[in-house]
Amino acid sequence: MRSALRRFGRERSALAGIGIVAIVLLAALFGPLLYPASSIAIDHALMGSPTAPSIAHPLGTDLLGRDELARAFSGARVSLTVGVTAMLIAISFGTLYGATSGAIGGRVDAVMMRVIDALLAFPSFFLIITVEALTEKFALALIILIIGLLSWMSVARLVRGEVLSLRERDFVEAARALGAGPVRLIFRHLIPNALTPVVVAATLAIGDNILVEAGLSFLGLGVQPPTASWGNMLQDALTPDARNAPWLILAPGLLIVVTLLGFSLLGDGLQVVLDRSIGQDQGPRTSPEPPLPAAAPLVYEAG
Amino acid sequence: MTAYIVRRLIGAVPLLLLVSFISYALMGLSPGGPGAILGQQARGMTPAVRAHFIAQLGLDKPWYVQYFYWLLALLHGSLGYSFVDNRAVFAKILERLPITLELLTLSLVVTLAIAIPVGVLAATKRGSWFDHLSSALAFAAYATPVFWLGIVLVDVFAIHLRWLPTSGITSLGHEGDIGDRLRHLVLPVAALSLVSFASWMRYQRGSMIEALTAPFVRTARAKGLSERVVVYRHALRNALIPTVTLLGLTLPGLVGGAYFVEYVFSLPGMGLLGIDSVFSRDYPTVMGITLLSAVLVVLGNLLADVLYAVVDPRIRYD
Repeated sequence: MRSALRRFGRERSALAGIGIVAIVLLAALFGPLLYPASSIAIDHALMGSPTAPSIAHPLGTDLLGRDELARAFSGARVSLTVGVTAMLIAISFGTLYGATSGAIGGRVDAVMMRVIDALLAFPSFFLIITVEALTEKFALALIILIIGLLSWMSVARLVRGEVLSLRERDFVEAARALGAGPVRLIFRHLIPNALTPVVVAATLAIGDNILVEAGLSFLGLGVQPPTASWGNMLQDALTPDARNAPWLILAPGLLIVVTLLGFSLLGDGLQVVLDRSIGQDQGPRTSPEPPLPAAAPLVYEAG
Repeated sequence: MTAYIVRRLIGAVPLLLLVSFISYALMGLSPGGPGAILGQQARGMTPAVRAHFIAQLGLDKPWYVQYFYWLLALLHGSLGYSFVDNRAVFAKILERLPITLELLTLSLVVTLAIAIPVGVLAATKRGSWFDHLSSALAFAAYATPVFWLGIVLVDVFAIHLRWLPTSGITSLGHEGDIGDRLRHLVLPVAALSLVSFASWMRYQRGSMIEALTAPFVRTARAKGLSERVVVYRHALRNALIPTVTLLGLTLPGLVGGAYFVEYVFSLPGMGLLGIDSVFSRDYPTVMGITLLSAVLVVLGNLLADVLYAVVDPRIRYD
């Protein structure tokens, strides 16, 4: 009874996660189309001091007289674009890398894992800041690429772990006996079966990426004005003249919080649901990886 | 154990070399790299003077040659000299380090003092309103960007209520006053702790639940021990093991959070130095901080493994 209640509670939070993500998605897709105000047009009549939320401007206007709600919609587009695209880069590369490493095993696996160790030893956020600042091109594509290329390592580890345990299973053995080559084994048998935890990781990664983008833009190293992003809206709110306009601080911040909450509830809910299907209790999402077995070389018979 | 530590430290050398090499390559190859930077700063100079300057800094050579020189200097214990004020990078970092360490230590202590009891209680009362409430709080905290929380805290407690200073580490004329210093650290520590509370609490809850369902706890219960002894002596002790190891693993993450907190609160620590150096294109300082951060990660991982063996006698490394 008790555990049924708890499950219900968990699913309810997962539902809340789906709901939030859906709302943000809809806002990003249709907000800029349906809402008439421009996110970059400067209203000279309102320029100079921010105006409080009103019927004409539901979230008020910023220091330059730009409509905050329109900027919020535009920011949602930026956040989701960065979040999802960078996740796709990280997940595809990480899965491929991890599966290859785990399937080949032996020395190759050891070297590939050492490379990951080295990359994880980078102060990644600092590295992102540095690269962004040095290239001086704040194109959205570059931001996405950098975030994606610096966040695939944990996925690779995850997939490798899955593959290491999968490849000892009978169905893999059977496929190999039937003459499946390494490429076929990796793509047809190992990767598809290792995808369950990847789905959870992907969901959580979207949230993490959104946070990184917001942080970069907040520092002035991400999305550049006049394009609005939640991070640079927050930066604008910090100019002394805007300091007595708390709505300028609250709106972008709360939008980030709610969006991140949505993705982490969804990820957590997915984990519960997917775990239950294999009869395990939910582990804490921050648990360290269990010590992985040393990979024995996987020998492919010719033929 | 000592042999293990030494072996690990030796093993870390190639790793750090790789990290430094990649960082150097990235900076050297980027279009806004050091050569271009000096080009900007040297705008007022005659071509001859400028060429002399660039040659003096070694910037006329390809980046891999520069990297080699950088490594040579490192062997002699030098991280090079700042482009901004020509001071030794090592000294610049050292003078900023104490503030960052204070910030990190204090917030770690505060975080653990709250997160561990809450996590343990949530696990023992699994499914209760307390469990749900603390989980909800953890989710909310996890979703909160530390820089936004910092801004809100400053707005409420420093600007509107005027209880605490807005930024910096000392007030004018109060240098060396510990009370004043602590007052400056209250908000930054609160921001950092609130955000990191989430993962620690969830983690502690998870490991406590795992311990409570372990066979040795069933045995303890079967022996007829009181629930208090079972929970606090048998389960809790074992549930703390994973938490202790997490200490080492979160070190790098904390340093990452410190960048933002120091930026928002203008705390002159290593994080702010890092951000400032990036903005002013102070290439050697950026390199020094990157290397130091990587060293911290390596030490953090080692610390985690060593602590693991210390708290869990079943684990031996030799």
